[in-house]
Amino acid sequence: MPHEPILEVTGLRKSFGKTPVLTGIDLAVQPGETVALLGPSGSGKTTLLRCLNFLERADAGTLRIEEQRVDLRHAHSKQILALRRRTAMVFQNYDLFLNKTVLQNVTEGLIVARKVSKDEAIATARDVLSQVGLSTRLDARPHELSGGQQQRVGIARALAIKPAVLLFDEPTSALDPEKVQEILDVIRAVAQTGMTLLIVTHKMGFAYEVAHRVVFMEGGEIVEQGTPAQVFGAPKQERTRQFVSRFTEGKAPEYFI
Amino acid sequence: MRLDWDTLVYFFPKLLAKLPLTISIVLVATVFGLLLGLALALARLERVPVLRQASGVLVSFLRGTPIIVQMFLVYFGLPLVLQTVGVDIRDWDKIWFVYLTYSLNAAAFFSEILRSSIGAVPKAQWDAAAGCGLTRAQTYRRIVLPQSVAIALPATGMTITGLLQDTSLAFMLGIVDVIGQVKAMGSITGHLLEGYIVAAFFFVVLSLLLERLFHRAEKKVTLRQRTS
Ligand SMILES: Nc1ncnc2c1ncn2[C@@H]1O[C@H](COP(=O)(O)OP(=O)(O)O)[C@@H](O)[C@H]1O
Ligand SMILES: [Mg+2]
Repeated sequence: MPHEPILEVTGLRKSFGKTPVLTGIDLAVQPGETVALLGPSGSGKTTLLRCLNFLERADAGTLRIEEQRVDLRHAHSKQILALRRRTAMVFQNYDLFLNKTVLQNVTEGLIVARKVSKDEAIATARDVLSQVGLSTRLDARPHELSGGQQQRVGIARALAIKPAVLLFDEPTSALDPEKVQEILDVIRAVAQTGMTLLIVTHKMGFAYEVAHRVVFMEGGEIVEQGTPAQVFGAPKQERTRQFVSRFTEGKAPEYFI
Repeated sequence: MRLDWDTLVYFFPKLLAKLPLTISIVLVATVFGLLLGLALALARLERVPVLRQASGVLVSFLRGTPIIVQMFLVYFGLPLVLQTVGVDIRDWDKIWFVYLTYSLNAAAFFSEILRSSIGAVPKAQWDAAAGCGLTRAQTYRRIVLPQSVAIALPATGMTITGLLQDTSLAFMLGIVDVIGQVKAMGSITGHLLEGYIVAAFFFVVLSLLLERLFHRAEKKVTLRQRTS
C-alpha cells in the first residue's frame, strides 16, 4: 500500500516491574486497513493496545496517529488527551458505563469530550446504533442487556467518535458462543466501511477472511506479519507455524473457525 | 419517681418546637460534611501532595476522638487560634461552633465512605471513559461519582443516623435543642424522665424516617444501575 500509515508506532517497550512485556514493537497501519493481531495469551497484545491510547504508559517508543506524533514515555496530559481522541477502544468485557443508558453510553464521549451539541450527538448515536443493529432498547441500562447487545453498544460507542483508528481487544471472547458470529458480522461490516481497525482476536477464520494483514506476536515481540494467506498458509517462522497449526489442524485456511 | 402523663403531654410541644434545631444540626453537618468529606477523599485518592497527608491526619483525629472533645476544642480552641491572626469569633453564637464541629466530624466519616466507594467503582469504567476521551475530572463527575453514590448509600444512611444520635451532646455547649430543652425543663419542673421519653420518641421517629428514605433511595439507584 502506497499510503502514509495512519498509525505508526516505533520502538515501543513496556515492562511491568521487572518483567518485560513488550520488547520493542514497530507497527504501521494504513488508512482503511484491518489488521488482526494474533498471539498466545500473555504475549502482550492487550498491553500493546492499551499503550496506544495511554491506558498504560509505555517505557519507550514513539507513536504517530494522523499528524500527531508523541513520545510514548514522556507525553504530557494534553497530548495524551488529544491522542486518545483519535482512537477508540472496544473492550473484551464491553465496559459500558454502568450508570448510563444505551443512548447515553454512545453520546457521552461526543457531548463531554468533543463538545458536540446534544441533539447532534443523539442523532449520531441513533445512527451508529442502528449500524450495529440496535434500534430499540435505547433507554435500557447495561445490566438489562445480553452480552451480545452490550458489545454492540460498545462498538457503537467507539464508532460514534469517528476515530482515526478503532482498537478491538478480543471483542468476542466474553460472549456466549452463539453470539460470537453476530458480533463478528458487525465488525466485518464496520471494516467494509473503510475504517481503520486493529483487532486482537483468537478467531482465526475471521482474521483470515476480514483482515488485510495479520500480525503474529509472541513473548512481547512481533514474530511475523503478512497477508492472511501468507501467515496462515505459509508461515516463515517456526513459532508462527506452531501457533497457526493449533487452529488449522491440517484444514485449509478457508475452513477453520 | 413516677411517670406523670400530664407532664408528658405538656413536654411534647415544647420539645417538638426544638426539633428543627436538632434537625438543622444534622442537615448542616450532612451537607457540609459531604462536601468536605469529598474533598478529603479526593486529596487522598488523587495523591495531592501535602493535602493528602493533612487529610489523613485530620480524618484519623476526627474519627479517633469523641465528638464532645472535638466540640470543646472547636469552641475554646478555635477562637484562640484565630485570635493570633487577628480574627475575633469569640462572640459568635454557640450554634455555629456546633455546626462546625458536627460538619467536621461528619466529613471524616463521609470521606472514608466516599474513598472506599469510589475505589469500588471498577477500574474498567475509568479505562472506558479515558477511551472515550474524557478527562479525569469529567470521569469523576459523570461516571465514577454517580456510581459511587450508589455504593455509598447504605453506609451514608447509617452515618447520618449516627449523626442524629450524636446531636444529643450539643447541649453540653449550652445549645437548647431537643436534649437541651429536656435538661432545662427537667431542672425547672423536676421531671426528667418524661422529657427523655418524649425525646426518645422523636429520635426513634426520625431514625425510622431516615431509614425509610435511604431504603427507597437504594432501591431506586440499584434499579437504575447494577454494578455488574
Ligand atoms: N497491570 C499489569 N501488571 C502486571 N503485569 C501485567 C499487567 N497487565 C499485563 N501483565 C502481564 O503482561 C503480560 C502480557 O499481558 P497481556 O498484554 O494481557 O497479554 P495478552 O493480551 O496477549 O494475553 C502477561 O504476562 C501479564 O501477566
Ligand atoms: Mg489480552
